[in-house]
Amino acid sequence: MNKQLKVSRGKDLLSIQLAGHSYVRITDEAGNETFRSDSDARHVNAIVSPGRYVVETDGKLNKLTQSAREPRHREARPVQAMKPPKPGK
Amino acid sequence: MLMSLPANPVPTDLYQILVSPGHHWLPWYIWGGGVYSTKYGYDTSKYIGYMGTISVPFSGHVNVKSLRITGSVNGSSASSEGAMVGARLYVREGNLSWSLASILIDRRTVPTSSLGSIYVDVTQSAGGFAADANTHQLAIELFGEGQGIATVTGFVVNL
Repeated sequence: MNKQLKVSRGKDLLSIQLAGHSYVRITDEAGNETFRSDSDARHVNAIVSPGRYVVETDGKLNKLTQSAREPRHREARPVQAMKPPKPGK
Repeated sequence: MLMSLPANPVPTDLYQILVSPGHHWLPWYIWGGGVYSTKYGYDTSKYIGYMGTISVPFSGHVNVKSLRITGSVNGSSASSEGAMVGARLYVREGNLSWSLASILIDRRTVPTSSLGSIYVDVTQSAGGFAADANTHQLAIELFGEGQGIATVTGFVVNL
């Protein structure tokens, strides 16, 4: 089973609920696999950038939810080690 | 080349912190491989902490294809929240560093009973970044949050 998906700007976390599967994977428009889970857990998270994807599994896709990661869970922007941020920023 | 960073016992001081008058044990069992250093600032009131950094040694020119994490992450149970584990593969060049691949497994509000399986085996693309050992270094940062138990049994970096 697969489903096409457009991830909107401002969203970067997919929550996937599925059943009866051995894998779930996400491919981008070019067909490149960007994410794969090989567990039969029925709840999977995937970090994605905005864009179009295909979610594919050998089981049943029950629910796909897009959200934004909590700020403290996002990657820090590249920081110049020789120019550290000022205290309090 | 698959570089496996196998599970090694982590020194006690990496997963316990001193809380007067005794020890407070972190709710995770963290395993890692390679050379690592801790930089966690575990906040017991918010249940969040940086658990460590694991170096990824390599030589010559490589294409960094993916980061994989295996282990288990418990969900919530009754009134106790579950665990969340995050891993990021970082590259450093000069005095700049940035993330090539990020994995987040968040089961803080997912009941363990609805998971079916607590096991995780997640692979995230690193985009085929061309790394040169003369100018780049790689490291995995591991962080966690929540009250549940998570066990990381290994990381695999596909170079």
